[in-house]
Amino acid sequence: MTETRSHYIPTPFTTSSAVFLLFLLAVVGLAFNAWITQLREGLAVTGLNRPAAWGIYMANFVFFISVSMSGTFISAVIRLLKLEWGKPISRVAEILTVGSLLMAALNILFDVGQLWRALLYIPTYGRIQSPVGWDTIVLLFYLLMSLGYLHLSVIPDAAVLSEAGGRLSWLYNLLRYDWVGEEEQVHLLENALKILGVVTIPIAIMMHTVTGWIFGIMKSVPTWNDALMGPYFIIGALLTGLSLVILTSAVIRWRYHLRDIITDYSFVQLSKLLVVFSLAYLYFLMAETFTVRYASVIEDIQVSQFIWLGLYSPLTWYMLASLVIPSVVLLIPRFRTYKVTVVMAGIVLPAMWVKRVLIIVPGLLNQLRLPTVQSAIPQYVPTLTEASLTIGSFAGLALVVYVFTKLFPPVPAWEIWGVKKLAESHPPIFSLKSVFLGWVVGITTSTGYLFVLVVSTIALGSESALYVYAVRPEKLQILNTPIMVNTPMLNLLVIVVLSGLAVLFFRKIFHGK
Amino acid sequence: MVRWGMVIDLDKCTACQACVVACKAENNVPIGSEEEQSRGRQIAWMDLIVKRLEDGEAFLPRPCMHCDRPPCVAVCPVGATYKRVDGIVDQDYNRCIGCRLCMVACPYGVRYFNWNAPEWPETYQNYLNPIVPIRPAGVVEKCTFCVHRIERLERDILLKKAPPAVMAEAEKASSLEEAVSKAVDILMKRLLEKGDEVTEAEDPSKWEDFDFRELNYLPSCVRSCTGRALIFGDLDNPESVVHKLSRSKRAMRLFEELGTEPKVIYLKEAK
Repeated sequence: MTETRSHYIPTPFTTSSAVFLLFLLAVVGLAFNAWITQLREGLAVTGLNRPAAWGIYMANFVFFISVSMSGTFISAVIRLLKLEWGKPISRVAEILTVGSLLMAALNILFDVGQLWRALLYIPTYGRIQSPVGWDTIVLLFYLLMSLGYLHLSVIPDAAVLSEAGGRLSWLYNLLRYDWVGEEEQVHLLENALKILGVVTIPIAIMMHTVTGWIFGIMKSVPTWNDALMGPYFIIGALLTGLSLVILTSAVIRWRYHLRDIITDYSFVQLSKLLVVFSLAYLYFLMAETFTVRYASVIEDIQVSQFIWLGLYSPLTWYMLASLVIPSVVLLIPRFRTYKVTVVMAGIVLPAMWVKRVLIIVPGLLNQLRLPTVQSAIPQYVPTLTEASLTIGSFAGLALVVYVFTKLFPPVPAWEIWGVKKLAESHPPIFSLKSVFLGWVVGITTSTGYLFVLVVSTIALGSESALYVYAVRPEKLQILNTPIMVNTPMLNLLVIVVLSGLAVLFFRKIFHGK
Repeated sequence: MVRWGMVIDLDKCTACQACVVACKAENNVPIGSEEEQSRGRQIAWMDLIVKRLEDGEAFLPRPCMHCDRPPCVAVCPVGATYKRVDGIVDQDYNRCIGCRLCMVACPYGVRYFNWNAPEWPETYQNYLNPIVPIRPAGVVEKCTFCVHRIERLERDILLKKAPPAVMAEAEKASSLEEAVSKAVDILMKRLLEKGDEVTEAEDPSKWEDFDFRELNYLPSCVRSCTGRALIFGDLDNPESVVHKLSRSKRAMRLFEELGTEPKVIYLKEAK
């Protein structure tokens, strides 16, 4: 029980893990089948209709985006504040971010009517003035950054694993570069992670604010057009992400026997964060509801009635109860234990998914201020296809996390058991220094550029958002070209060039020393 | 500069839905079924809105408002929908990725998604309009103010094949925009004055210079309106009928508080 391990080697692949893997693959396979059907038949197989143009795909998208807040953000905060209790969960948080961002991207692809066009046209004709344009860019950056963060923090563990040998040593060899565990290298790694952490925080905040703006800027949908949306989404994301981190850490602690590593104390600390975030979320919920009900704008109050007293009221009251219970229970110090925390996180998580549906669907069902002859009662009932794609994306997230923990230590072993000195191995393709420089400089430059891009887009105002064409071919031109370049592809090109220049510059400094 | 707009006189509207049917026929909009209707998937670029009031019902023909500040255009991620310089908000069906952001952004609900591939009865297949593209499943479509008809008028003026009355005015115009603007106004006035209310009792010689097909340069809904409630034209041309009517005391626009500046102007019913 109290066996002191010098390092962590992933548990061997047993029959039970094979069964679990097959189960996950089967669920994902079913979802894939549903997706193929949907691609063949069109979105007719979903329950979407005219007032309810978005449904649970969009809710899933927002949910997975908010899960992604957990990871790299929490991990970066833990690192920057040097919180010792947070170290064991940082790896879980990072892999959850990567997995959930992938699932978010997939869910937005489920939602579009023309999949191939979306893949082709958003990079080529994408407009940063569109909220989806912003979101695509920010999502890509956040994914890139999370991958970079995960990649760097895995290097020392990969080096140890490559020493151990085995069937997968080629993979570990590929990832260790020339890591031998020298003091200088550790110093470099920690600095690189710190810089990335600093960059992570603004980009994570931007990611969730922009997702909130998809809804916040829609003046046509009652209750959406709200300046609160950005901060509301950030708090929601912190709460969602944190509860999933708690649940996943608990599962990993149980399955991989890491009781002495991911200690009860870590969970107690996390429970304090959980109660703060859920109280903050309740506050936001109250602020939103009271403004709407007091101001009593006809359309807004209609949605509010619909949510609190109408068709969707059971979901709303369930959601409210699931937020109030953890807030009350975890306020009492006696209940801040491992088991209670996990149960409370389990209560919060589904409620947060329901809340996403409650943001999107009721607003849309009451969107059309003009009554129509065609649909007497606006309604939205998800179909089996939507359900199976939803379950499939959750299974997909589990699959990503599971496969990762089978390949690499589920905790940052080098930070917990100390860095191991290793002998030189095969000559690497890249040196460690260039990898660090590549990620750090590339990501820092691109984030700076992204900020300029988004701020200038907002500063240009709505007038530039219009896209005016001349009528006849000989006069075909964009009359109202935005000042900033307007395709993401071009932006990526600029970023690559900028990072290249930055790398050259930094190298000069390094060599100068 | 031309700014196409429409005036809808609710006093004259008989809620006959001729505009709805004419629009469907002209623009290759699938007829749809009762099942689709109950699921909220029916497409009708021009729709008749029924508003239930305390004393009876009010009817509102609703095309696209062709806003001067269209929220749908601002949110499109790929530029599939755009505002032309003549003010028409058009849709590029080959560019649209079907994300439905514009449907959510439009306060008037004029944007329709093709949930399935369009279908027509066997007998209908030969009567589809060859000028208007057929939209595949997975794209959004909307009212275009029958832009193909306006473009045909432009082409015919350039080729000097337009009706004589129109050509006479067009010769005097300084630019093509002005010519088209004047031409549409002439046709609109003709429709309002004479329409197709020719009966056998009337003297046919009176109508010799008048070919009813000329009126087909006007949008399909306007052309087919039985009460002459729909009036189309250039809002920037001070001589035009729409310009004058848009200054009426009865004029109002839908949801002006949203700042979309729609170019469809309703004339309220007189009490």
